[in-house]
Amino acid sequence: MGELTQIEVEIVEEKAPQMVRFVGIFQSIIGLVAMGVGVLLLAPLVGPFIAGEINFGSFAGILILNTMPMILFGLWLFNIGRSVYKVFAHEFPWIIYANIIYFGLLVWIGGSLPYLAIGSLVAILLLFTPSVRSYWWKLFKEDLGPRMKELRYSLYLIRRSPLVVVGVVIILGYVFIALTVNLWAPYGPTERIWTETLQAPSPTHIWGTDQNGGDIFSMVMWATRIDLRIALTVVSVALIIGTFLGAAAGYFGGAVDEVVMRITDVFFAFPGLILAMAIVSALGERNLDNIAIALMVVWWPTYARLVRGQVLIERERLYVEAARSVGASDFRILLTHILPNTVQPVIVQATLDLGGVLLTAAGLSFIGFGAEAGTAEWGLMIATGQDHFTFYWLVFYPGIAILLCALAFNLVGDGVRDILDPKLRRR
Amino acid sequence: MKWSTMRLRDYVIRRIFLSIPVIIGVLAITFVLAYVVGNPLALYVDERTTPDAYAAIRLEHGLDEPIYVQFFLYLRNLFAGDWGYSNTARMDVIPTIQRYFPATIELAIVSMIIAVVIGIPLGIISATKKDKLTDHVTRVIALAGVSMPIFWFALMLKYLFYFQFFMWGLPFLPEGGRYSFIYVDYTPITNFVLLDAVLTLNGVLFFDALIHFVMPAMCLGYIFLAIITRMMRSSMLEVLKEDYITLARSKGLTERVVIYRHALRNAMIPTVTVIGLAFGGLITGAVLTETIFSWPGLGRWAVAAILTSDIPSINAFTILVAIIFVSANLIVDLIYATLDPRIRYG
Amino acid sequence: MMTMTESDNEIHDSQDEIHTLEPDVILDVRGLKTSFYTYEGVVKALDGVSVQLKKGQTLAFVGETGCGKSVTAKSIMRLVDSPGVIEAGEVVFRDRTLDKEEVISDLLKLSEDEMRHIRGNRIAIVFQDPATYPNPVFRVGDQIAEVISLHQNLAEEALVMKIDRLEETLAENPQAPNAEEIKEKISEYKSQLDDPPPPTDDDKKKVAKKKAVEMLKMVRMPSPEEIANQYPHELSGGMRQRALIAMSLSCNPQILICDEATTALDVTVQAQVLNLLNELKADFDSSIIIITHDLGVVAETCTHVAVMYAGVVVEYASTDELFSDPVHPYTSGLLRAIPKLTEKVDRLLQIKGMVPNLITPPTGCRFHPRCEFATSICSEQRPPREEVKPGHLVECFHPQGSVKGRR
Ligand SMILES: Nc1ncnc2c1ncn2[C@@H]1O[C@H](COP(=O)(O)OP(=O)(O)OP(=O)(O)O)[C@@H](O)[C@H]1O
Ligand code: SF4
Ligand SMILES: [Mg+2]
Repeated sequence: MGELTQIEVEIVEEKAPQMVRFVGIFQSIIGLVAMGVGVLLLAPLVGPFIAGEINFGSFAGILILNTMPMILFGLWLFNIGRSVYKVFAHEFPWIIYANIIYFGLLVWIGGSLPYLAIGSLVAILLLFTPSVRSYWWKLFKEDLGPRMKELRYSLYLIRRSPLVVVGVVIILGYVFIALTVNLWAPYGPTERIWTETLQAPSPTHIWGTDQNGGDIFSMVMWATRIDLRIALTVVSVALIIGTFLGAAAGYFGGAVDEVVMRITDVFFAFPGLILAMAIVSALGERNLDNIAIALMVVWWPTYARLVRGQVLIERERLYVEAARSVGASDFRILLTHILPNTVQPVIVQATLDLGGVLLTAAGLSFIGFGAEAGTAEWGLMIATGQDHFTFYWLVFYPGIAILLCALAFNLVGDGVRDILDPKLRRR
Repeated sequence: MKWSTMRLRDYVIRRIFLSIPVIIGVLAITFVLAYVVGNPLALYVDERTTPDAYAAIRLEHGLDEPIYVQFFLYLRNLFAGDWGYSNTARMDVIPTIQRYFPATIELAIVSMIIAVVIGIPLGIISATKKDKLTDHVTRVIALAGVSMPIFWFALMLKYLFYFQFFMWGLPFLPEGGRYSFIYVDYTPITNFVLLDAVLTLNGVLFFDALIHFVMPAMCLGYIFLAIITRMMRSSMLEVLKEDYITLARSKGLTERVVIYRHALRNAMIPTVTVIGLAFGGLITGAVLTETIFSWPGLGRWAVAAILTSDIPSINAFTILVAIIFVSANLIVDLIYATLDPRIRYG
Repeated sequence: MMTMTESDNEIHDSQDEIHTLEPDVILDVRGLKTSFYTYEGVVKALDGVSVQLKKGQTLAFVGETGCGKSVTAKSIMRLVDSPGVIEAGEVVFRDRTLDKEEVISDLLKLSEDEMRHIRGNRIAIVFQDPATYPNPVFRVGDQIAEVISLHQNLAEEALVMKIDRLEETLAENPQAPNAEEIKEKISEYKSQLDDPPPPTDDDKKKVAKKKAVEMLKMVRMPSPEEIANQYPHELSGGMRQRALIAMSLSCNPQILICDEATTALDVTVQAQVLNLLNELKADFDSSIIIITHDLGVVAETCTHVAVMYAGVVVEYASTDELFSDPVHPYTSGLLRAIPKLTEKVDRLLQIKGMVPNLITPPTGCRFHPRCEFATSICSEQRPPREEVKPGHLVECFHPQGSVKGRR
């Protein structure tokens, strides 16, 4: 954020009013709460997991998707609170960003947690009370100006690139279907009409029926939920794990770097689907959870390498700047100064990977891993349809669903990468 | 001059040495998957196995040894050529691989040739005609290829060229297999059908095999054509913005020479890398499509092994693919070094 | 691929317009306008650049960074890349053909084919940045040889090379059984010297490579044979720059444009290269355009100077005249900013104020926001080009110096 010299920091510190300190304390409390919630989410599962009542997949899922991010974010929020308490002006805007992300996290985990977000809202509002605002707003606005200009330019380029717009529209369409399919799908995901098997597309079954009398249209629509969820879960977990390992490797260098990078080398020695295949067969059971775990294991090295490269660049830049001299800890520098600058390429990569994971998951499902027979899942539908491939609709529609979805992610990822690429970003 | 080639040789040696730890890592991963996460005894035990018998089997397979000893035994077996027994193929793994390997490699090579021969010019044309109709069409073709589930494409091809053509009374393509073993006499020599046909001057076999190649090669080739075209286009676009292209133009060279001599060689550098990665993709594609085309290759074997939880086969297949993939990338890196004189300084 | 050789007579027949040039003028740039169409708006990089180059002159372009010097050079060669567009103007060039005939043509109206014949052959350019200009994947010698074999016939040279080689073998081994044959061959080749047959591609390549090494020798490259076989990244910046200069000199161009060609070189080498350029000028009856920030170089090597400001040539005069009697307020500011002519520092920025934004340039005279003599007319109208003294052109309403107060 703003490049505040040490002297400025001290001046600010001298006459900081009580209100500023209060914001810091409040923010730290939010952080502590977040950490607590993270622990609470996992705690009830530990016993059953050790007793073997819960399988590894669900336990790891909660751990990686809910608990870990909560604790790490909690730590981050707590740290921001602490530095705001010490009146580092450049930390104030982070209250906004961090709380927005925290808010998203709470919504993702669901349950009654989103109510906690009221705290975040209050923290953001407090930031704008006149006595606090005077400490950071001017600097922030100065800093934001060029960023907003860049953003506006990016948006302009995105709007002018028809393929990206098409991709975004398709993705929104899929998300809409996934969210509302229960309201309008003519049949349920596992509903079968045993008297109407292998029917060609007709007004009653617009995309026909399969060999058990399942309505293809309804099944394809229901499958949107499962497939999007897998893709999203895999990519977000891989991203979290990869980002932290990559960041650590890049930031600490030396042995850490060497170990992490050699491990990624080994993972890159397999084509993704093959390694995932080996992992699922080793795990033994065939279900969607295991596919997801396998894909996470396969995909994290991509992000580790990407983030490491970015961190190396950013770290060099930072050494020249003052952040260190102000006395920030390694962890805080990493979290508040370095990682945010790696966001752009990571997001582009994640968008592209959503398509890749979707395809690979469908492939695994096709060769016989994955959901139990009869589940509405695209890859599985094609797999069961191949025995009846002369009834083209069994295979055609689920395939089109995968194709369009992957295409949309690729269109957006590709387009956005070109737009953000400084080399191609000539005016 | 001599000095330059020396550099290249050093680079090659260094690069080969660097891939040794990777291979060891690969073996470690497969070991962990097969022996630590998975249950290597799944094949030998069932509900009726008594605890005593179970313990005996464990002992026999050395599973009571400490893990590092087990790993050592695992490596020793691998290097001694004892890769286990493939329940799926009903014979040892090594001869199984020897039997299935040529079919897959032959298919991969044919597809790769198709993809490279069409993909690179397509990428160049697309880049030089940026934002024209040709470019848009090419981009959509390429993006669709990248986003397409290959097994779906295979089934659709089969539906159209085999079933629908048959229904329409048109000459249709064979459903699967490498050649029509009912009509054509063929005693494998090298197990590469096309090569054997040429060696024995067997025109009938050659033509028959070629027909059988059409669908699988089209299927795999298209996906990799898409990857290569996309990469070629973007690297070409980047190179065309470079200063040395302006210099080449300032010499008075024709646009053709500027593009095909000055830009192409530079643009090929990233594309070659992608071709190496695409080779891994070809093997993935083989796994997903060989069953559909009844292609008697590694992929079909692997899928059959998966369906019966045949751990030694899956394990062997994984190792093999990793070795192929690592070697492909090694070769690519060496080509890369000959293309780009800067890399030899590494 | 590279069969285009000397065929000047056909080259120019697509000229419909007849252009006139004063005698001795070899290049006349008239009202050149080049713009870049960007997201933020149209960058009007050149706004009516007019300048003349006479045979045998060395013309300098000077001005602050971003004033359009490089764009002018690229526009003359028609090498402006998108989003740049040459919108108006003429670049009239007097081309000397082999048989000493003269063809006058507007380069902006030539076909792409005809223009290619000019580039690298009649007008050559040395670019600003030696780090990015040579192609990284080709050997230096090959890159030079490429331009030589593209534009030159090399028939005679190829023949001479063959003769030399045969004579060498003969000299080494006069008693060889086929000595008679060789002698016959030599005399046969010698008889062809007046009207040499077109060389084979292979011979041509060899000769071109040999000439490339000669060119490297000419720019005083240390151990040229070795350098010719190296890749650009193996050379230092100064060596790369010299290789680029060798490349551009290799076809004896009538005009050589050096875009800060000597900036990357150390002082002694710089002097050598500049001397070299002047020698070439004398030898081949060529003219040179030098783009530089270094007024010392200008004073030492250039006969004429064009001072550019924000896409306009504001003053044009002979070097002596300009240094002794600068008339445009910008020029005098420029000269005042430099305490000694020989001091090599880029102090052009010492004029107060900032280089204007070329998307919304100042109205009227583009210099008026920074000009101490500006009056209301300066912000309303573009000052006309005026010949204040013979050969001394200025675009200003209130010229200073010796002509001060004439208005
Ligand atoms: N590709 C481009 N896109 C947009 N604007 C450009 C482009 N190339 C040049 N310009 C603009 O044209 C103007 C002139 O640039 P030019 O490179 O000719 O400057 P210059 O006089 O050579 O400067 P220097 O001394 O730094 O080399 C600049 O204001 C620049 O912004
Ligand atoms: S025209 Fe006016 S503003 Fe421009 S240089 Fe002359 S006096 Fe200054
Ligand atoms: Mg310049």
